[in-house]
Amino acid sequence: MTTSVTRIPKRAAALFGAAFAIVFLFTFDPEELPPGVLNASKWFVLLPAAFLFALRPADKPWVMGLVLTGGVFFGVCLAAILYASNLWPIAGVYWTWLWLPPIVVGTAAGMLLGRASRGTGKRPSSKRAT
Amino acid sequence: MALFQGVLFLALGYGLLAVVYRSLAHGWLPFGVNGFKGRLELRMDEQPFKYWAAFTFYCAFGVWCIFLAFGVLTGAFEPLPLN
Repeated sequence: MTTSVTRIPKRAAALFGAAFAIVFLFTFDPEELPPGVLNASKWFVLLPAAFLFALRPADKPWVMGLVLTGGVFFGVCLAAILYASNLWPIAGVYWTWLWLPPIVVGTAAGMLLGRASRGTGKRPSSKRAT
Repeated sequence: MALFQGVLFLALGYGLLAVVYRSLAHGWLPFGVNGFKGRLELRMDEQPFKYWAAFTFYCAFGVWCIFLAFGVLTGAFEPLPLN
């Protein structure tokens, strides 16, 4: 028995973004990041996530990207507060800015692919006969 | 050893995230065994708090596995000892 939920709720993007940011900042030392890890986290985790969230959104696809960004910002702020940092808003803005490009690219790609697949899914009989 | 563990953690992490993504389409998330009553399934419509808590936990664990794999593959972390 399965319920059919075809659209992804915004909450999923927010929770994923927050979990991503918190786990990243607690797995690696933000002061001494190993080379390549930040780029790998951008392009192999965040970009596919943003793409998949924008494919079947419950709201507009760009809203899903915005919510994912908000989740990342919240996660960074929470991690910085847990690190007892007084600069948590600055840390939030800094890390969210670092992680913004893959979210933008992934959301745009998902939006385009979703729009293209909906466009080809139209039946010819739905066109008005002249 | 580093390559083996890196690939293993990558597969585990992406697999877990695939389970989570699939749950968004099907509306339920498997969460272990339910005693003798088969599999414990958390449903988005019936147990929303438990479902979203499990969703967050799975996301965090899957992402942690992927980051661990990145660390092992780039040499930032030592591979875990097997004995």
